[in-house]
Amino acid sequence: MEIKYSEITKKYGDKKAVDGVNLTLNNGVCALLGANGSGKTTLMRITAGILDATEGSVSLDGRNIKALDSSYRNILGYLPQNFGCYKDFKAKDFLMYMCALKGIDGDFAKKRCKEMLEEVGLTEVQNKKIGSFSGGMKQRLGIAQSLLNEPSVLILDEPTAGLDPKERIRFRNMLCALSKERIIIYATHIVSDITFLADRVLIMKDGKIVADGSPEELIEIAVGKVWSVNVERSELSRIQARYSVGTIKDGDNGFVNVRIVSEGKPFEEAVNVKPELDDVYLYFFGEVSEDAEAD
Amino acid sequence: MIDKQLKETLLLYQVEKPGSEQIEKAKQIVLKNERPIKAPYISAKRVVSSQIQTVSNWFWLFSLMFVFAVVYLSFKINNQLTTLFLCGATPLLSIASVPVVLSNIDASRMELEGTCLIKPQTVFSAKMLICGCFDLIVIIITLLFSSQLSEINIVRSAVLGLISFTASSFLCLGASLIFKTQVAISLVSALYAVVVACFVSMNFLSEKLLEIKMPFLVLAVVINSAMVYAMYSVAIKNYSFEKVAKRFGNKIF
Ligand SMILES: Nc1ncnc2c1ncn2[C@@H]1O[C@H](COP(=O)(O)OP(=O)(O)OP(=O)(O)O)[C@@H](O)[C@H]1O
Ligand SMILES: [Mg+2]
Repeated sequence: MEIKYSEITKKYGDKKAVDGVNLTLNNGVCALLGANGSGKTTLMRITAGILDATEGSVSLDGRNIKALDSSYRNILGYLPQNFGCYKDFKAKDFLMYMCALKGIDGDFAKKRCKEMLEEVGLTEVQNKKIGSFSGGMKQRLGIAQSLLNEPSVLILDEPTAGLDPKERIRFRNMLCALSKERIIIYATHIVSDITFLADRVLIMKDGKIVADGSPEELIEIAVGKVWSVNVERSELSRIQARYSVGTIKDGDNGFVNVRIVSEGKPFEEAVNVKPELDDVYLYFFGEVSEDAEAD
Repeated sequence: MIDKQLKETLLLYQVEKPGSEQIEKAKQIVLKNERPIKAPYISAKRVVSSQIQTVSNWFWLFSLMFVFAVVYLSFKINNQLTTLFLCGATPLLSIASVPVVLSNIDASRMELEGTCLIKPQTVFSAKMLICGCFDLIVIIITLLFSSQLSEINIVRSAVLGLISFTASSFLCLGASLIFKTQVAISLVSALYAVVVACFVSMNFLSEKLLEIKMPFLVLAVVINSAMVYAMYSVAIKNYSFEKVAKRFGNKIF
């Protein structure tokens, strides 16, 4: 299957939340990485068909998703960034309700609900009201509902937000176990999720896709731009103002080891190190104030 | 059909004639890709039954209390005025249905419901249908009781009830398009109930009402129904995720 975006632009007033995105997605896991407000949710909503783009169109296998209408929604699974539900519903009832809306009925619906509750580890609380759930539990319920209809297009907007480390790993494994015969798009800020899961990473900035490739290809971008240097602790704030600083490690004698992402060599003594995906993120989003760069 | 089209298309390539095996293979590929493109049919009954559970218990409770109150009152004071008032007092039931209808106008929930097979517009309509039908049933019960006990002809009281039902539905839908909070919308409905009460209690007006010829009353029902339908169309048109999010904000839970 193939989802194609052509010239997708979404304007809120004068502001372009998504700005002329041209993209083709194929089967596999595609991660959308970007800072707050970069337009990820907006793009996801457009893909899910609940938001109309100001310009451009999205098509699935060459057919506009607006024209496909219910046929498209039938194969769609979507987890919104924040979702609301009837808080008086019990977890199980909520999933059954979602099954009804997704056109799944009878014994198959019951079977799917049971399976999904097990997948996300909510079997024990299936008879508790959603209103009493913690943020992470609610998030897991959201993940469960998105998978009920075994979607061919799965859109997840920050699925791991609010999950504890154990649940995060469970989610990762769950996504890995899903058949690859589907398009999975997920937005995230968490770089480590991507390293394990994504076949393809898109980096979004100010509504535009600024980088597109496999995790390895993206890491390639930062080769030769990541530096490690030992500096005096007192210099730290000056360096942070001037460069994109990654991890800082404590050293001896008032020295610290700093990881810097910079086009050129920041210091004489700096040495090139092997980049990681974190560094790529910093490369695109580590804002350095203009005047600091000038001097 | 597919066979013929495929054969013709494959022949366009001007290669040697495709065998039936190749055609079958190509057909399978086409059909496989075609698979997700057909959505199953969902009957209206299933949509409505899925929505019944989302209607708040308060709605059923309020409605039942209303029926009891009405039955009690019509036994207690049985005259034409009570019947008239009962016919007009249905907007009180619309007040009960306001939270039900409004509870669905929630952008964050629409974001979830809006990506399912059943359209959120259909969900919204189903909810309104449930409330409307229940209101209607309650009205019929109350009218049966009250007209038995007073001298007003049952057909006339039914028509009067329908006029009030359609007028209050129109008002409720309209108010839900203009106002954002349940309180404001309930107030509009309550105001309507008060107007009806005053109207009925003014003797000369209610006597006039009882003299109006039936065809005119029926005409009023028809006009009111048309107005409700028009208002419903506007409400549905405004019921998209984007518009609701703009009006109500993206509140959670
Ligand atoms: N309904 C709206 N009205 C006006 N502006 C909006 C609306 N929704 C989003 N925006 C703007 O569009 C831009 C992109 O928002 P979006 O929610 O897509 O970002 P995001 O990448 O998902 O951010 P986050 O990481 O915080 O979830 C933001 O600048 C936001 O202010
Ligand atoms: Mg977002």
